[in-house]
Amino acid sequence: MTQTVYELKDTCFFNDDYSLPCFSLSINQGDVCKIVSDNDISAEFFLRGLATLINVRGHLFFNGNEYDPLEYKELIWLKRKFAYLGPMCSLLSNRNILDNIFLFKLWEENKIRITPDDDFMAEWKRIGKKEDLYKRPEHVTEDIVGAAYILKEFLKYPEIVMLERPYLFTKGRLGGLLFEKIEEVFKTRIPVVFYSTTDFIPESRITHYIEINEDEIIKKAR
Amino acid sequence: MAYLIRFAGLTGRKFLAYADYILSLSGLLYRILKIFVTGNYKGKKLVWVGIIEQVYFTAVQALWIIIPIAFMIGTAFFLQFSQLAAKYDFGKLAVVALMRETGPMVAAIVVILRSATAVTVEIGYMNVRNEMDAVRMAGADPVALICIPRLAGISAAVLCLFIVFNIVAVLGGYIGAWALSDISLVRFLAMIGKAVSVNDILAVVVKALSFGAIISVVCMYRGFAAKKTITLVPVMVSRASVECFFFCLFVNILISVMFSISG
Repeated sequence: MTQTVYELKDTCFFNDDYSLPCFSLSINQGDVCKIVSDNDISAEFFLRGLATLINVRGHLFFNGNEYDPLEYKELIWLKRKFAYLGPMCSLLSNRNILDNIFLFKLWEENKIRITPDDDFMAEWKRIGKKEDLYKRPEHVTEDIVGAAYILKEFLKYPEIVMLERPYLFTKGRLGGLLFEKIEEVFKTRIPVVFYSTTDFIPESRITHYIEINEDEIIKKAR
Repeated sequence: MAYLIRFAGLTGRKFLAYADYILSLSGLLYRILKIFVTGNYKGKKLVWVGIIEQVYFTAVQALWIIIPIAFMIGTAFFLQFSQLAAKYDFGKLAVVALMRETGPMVAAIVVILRSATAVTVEIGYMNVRNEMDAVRMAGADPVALICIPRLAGISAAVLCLFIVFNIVAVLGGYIGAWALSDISLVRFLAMIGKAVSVNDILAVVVKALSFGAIISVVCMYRGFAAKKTITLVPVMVSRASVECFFFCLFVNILISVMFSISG
């Protein structure tokens, strides 16, 4: 039996100058949902809404518990459970790469410094030099910033992965990193919701489509 | 008649917009203080590091500006008013005019010029570059991680700068003008010591905390108001600086009047 991870009932996503039609849908364990929309802005807006990065109204359930979308503190806790990758994502420019990657840990464990373990350092060796970890994002290459962002999101052990134009993270020398992470996600049956104009995830892997039309948003099985 | 109606409408709209802005600033201040006072957040150590950094940027790095300014103002004050020492209570004059009125405003202007602009630009760019989302996606509270250090750090820094200004203005001013004056240092310090009351110290502390709160909250609010538009950042910096100066001036007078009435 598949377990519902994230459920939205009578939910609307909106901000000052844009909104989507209200909808209800659930995202279950093992789901790989591709967003289908003839409008890039709606698809991106939907993903940002799903990650509660814009205003949300309605009923949100995560692992069976309801969260108040007006209570921003509850939403912050919820965001910690999401991995969200998109072209608008960035790192904090006034912190070094290591602090950026482990910000969730520094915050949760109330620490001011983190000592990365051997597994992390082994992974980092493929990405850049050890010194790069102690540099700020503007002092390292774009490849390293992108890789750091991927690690930052996946080291949180997310329970849902949301990808907006993921192919932007697969360019350059470190392009394979995201594919590796996604493979791990598939193995653990963590649901994935993505919007891509390329075949980033092969059609055979997709279980559902989320269609965004002018007046409705519906989830359909493939 | 039509002109009058238009004028009344414009005045009404401006007033409502201003009232809305003041309420929004108060709301932001309340939200930051509530989280700070209740301690309802996880990364306390990160927040404290942020506060210390902010004090360093705002107070320690501004010392090389505030010390010569305090020295010059103290000297000018001492030169001008020492001639009136026989006529008026010079100690009280120094405390009220220099320490209670000039010091806070000069320190506030230095903080506005150096740090208020910097904070507005920083928050504005963080917003434009979606760095607030990066904080939230890490499960951290931006109000705690970004706003508390600015509010607490700038308020503490303004208080420190007040103290430095007053010490340098009094002692440095005396040293700068000692050759031209017939008041001895011991007599001068005795006059100041006699003139300073608990009320004066309270007034200075209240002004420091108020100025710190005004400067940090206005700058953060304006920084956040830049939203995702990079061209709005310089506009917001300009507005924040002018508003900080205006509000500080207004609150300075308000607090002075309150403490004057209370004795």
